[in-house]
Amino acid sequence: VNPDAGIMSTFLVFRYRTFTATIIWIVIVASSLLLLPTYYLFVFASIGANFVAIIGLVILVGYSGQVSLGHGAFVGLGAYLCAILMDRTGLPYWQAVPATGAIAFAVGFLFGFPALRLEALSLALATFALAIVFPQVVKFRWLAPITGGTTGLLLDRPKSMLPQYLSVDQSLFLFVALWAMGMYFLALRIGNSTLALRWRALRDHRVVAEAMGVNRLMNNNYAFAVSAMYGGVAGALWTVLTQFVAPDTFGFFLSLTLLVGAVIGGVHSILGALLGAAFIQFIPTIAENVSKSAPWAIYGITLLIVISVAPDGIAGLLRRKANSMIKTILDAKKDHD
Amino acid sequence: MEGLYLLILAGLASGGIYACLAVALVMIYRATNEVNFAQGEMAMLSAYLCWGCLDAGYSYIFSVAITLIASFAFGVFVQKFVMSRFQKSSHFVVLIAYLALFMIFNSIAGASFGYTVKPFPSPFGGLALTSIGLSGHIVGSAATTLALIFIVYGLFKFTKLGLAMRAAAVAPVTCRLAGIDVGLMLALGWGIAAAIGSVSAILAAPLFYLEPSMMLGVLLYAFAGALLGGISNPWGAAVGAVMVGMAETLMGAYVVGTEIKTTVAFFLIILVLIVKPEGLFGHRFVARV
Repeated sequence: VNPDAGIMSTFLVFRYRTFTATIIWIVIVASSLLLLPTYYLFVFASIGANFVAIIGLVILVGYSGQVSLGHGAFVGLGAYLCAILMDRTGLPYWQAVPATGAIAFAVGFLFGFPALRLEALSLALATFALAIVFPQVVKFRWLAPITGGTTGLLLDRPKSMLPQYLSVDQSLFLFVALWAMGMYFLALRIGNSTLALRWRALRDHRVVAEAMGVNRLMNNNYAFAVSAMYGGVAGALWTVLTQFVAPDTFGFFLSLTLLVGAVIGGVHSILGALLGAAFIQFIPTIAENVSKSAPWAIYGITLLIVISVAPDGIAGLLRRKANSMIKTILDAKKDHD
Repeated sequence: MEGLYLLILAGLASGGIYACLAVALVMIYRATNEVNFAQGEMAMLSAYLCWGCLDAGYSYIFSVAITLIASFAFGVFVQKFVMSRFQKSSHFVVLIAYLALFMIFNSIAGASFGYTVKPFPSPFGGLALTSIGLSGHIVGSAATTLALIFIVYGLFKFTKLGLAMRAAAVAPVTCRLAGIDVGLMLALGWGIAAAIGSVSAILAAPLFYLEPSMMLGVLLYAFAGALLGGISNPWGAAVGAVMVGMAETLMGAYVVGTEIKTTVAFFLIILVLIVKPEGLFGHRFVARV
């Protein structure tokens, strides 16, 4: 947001961007539906689910400046909640996903109360532990009757939303794409809200923010809650897409992968989350032909390069490039005048 | 009663190993004010080196000596060529750098040695229990860990070098004015921590077997122990780590069963940290804002 611009022009810029983004989104989704074979529909839908999960991390890490090594646990929570809702209560998937998001929001909010009383290092430990512990809790014998224990849960394949026009895969792709779009616009709204302003104040100058009456605990609890909701929805979309959940999918390495995506895309940018989501989707499929350990080597080396060259990730780099280009054009114009 | 006695010994054995890595974490923390998430993976690589030397037919003492020297050099190398780039970066960027190193080391080990589990001989004559229930390995690990704690404590408390390292972590700019080579201090801190870490991996490998993610659990427990005891001093961290080892073992046997012991142990640790953020034996640092 440009502070020099009046409120009206800010509003217009925002509307203009929303409009452009919607058009681009519709074009991409429609052309994918028409052109892509089934396998790539699945790949693109997975990117959509990853995108939603990484937005959650961007909100927590980028907007509110807190570190989570356990975002995968919230994704796992969402995946399991959605699977259990569909399996036990017979809720159709399009109702199970928002229900999961709401529950994940509440859980994230409650998790924030103890977590935010911890100091930075202890918070890192708590989230690290959360990531490692999640698969064990799911496998635990008291919970096994609901969660399916080590084998996980296998669900029925859902029916198409519009059986006469779309195949099941196309319908699932469309469903995930719509959710990803909705969550993207929600994140933009949150980013422009006063809540995000309070987060930024707390992140950049905690004492000043608190002195001005910003309630740290409550506001950062919302950061956790929103982030958990995004994680939960991503997990639920993942369940809808694959119709299968198993405990070991949601271990520490999932949290690590999501963090890789967030940092490489750029922790301060919602669109960066999309780049990151594509990165963590494509790199393993390309690199796994080389060897089992190659994806992690690529992740690690790319991370080191990104944080030393462009700490704001690819999105930050692109933005800087674009800004300097605009500046050169403007300067040239000024000289010309 | 005999069962309890054996369990306490088992808890001590794993606690001792966690304590050893916790001391390495304290070392880096004192030298840089950061917690090194790649410490466990660096230690795991050292254990592979030691295994390679043993496999090639060298004696145990020679292999360990080679491993210690190589780990020290490797720690210095990582600090000089990778981490020194991030000296002025935010905590978050440093954390990401550690995680990147974690991934790189893990995949190097996986690519060069494979993901199959390898048995690793104990430096102290094996895992067999003697008449009083102690194996040579437990006694040896406990003695080694104690010796390491003394060394690190002594280094920071009584030597000029330790004082310079502490100062370099707290006030790098002032140190430069006072003529302390801050880069050298950081490199030394990393080297010593890597050497201590390699010892912890050599102690852990006979119990947990050698494989690329062998140290992930150990790192988690060591980190938890260090925070529980107070990461600012090696004694506190070591005692905390032993407590974590005991709590984990006893909890698994008597209270909740082995499947969920980690969960309950962590629940308790986090509770303690909420009530006492500086750890059980740590100092409270007052930060000026």
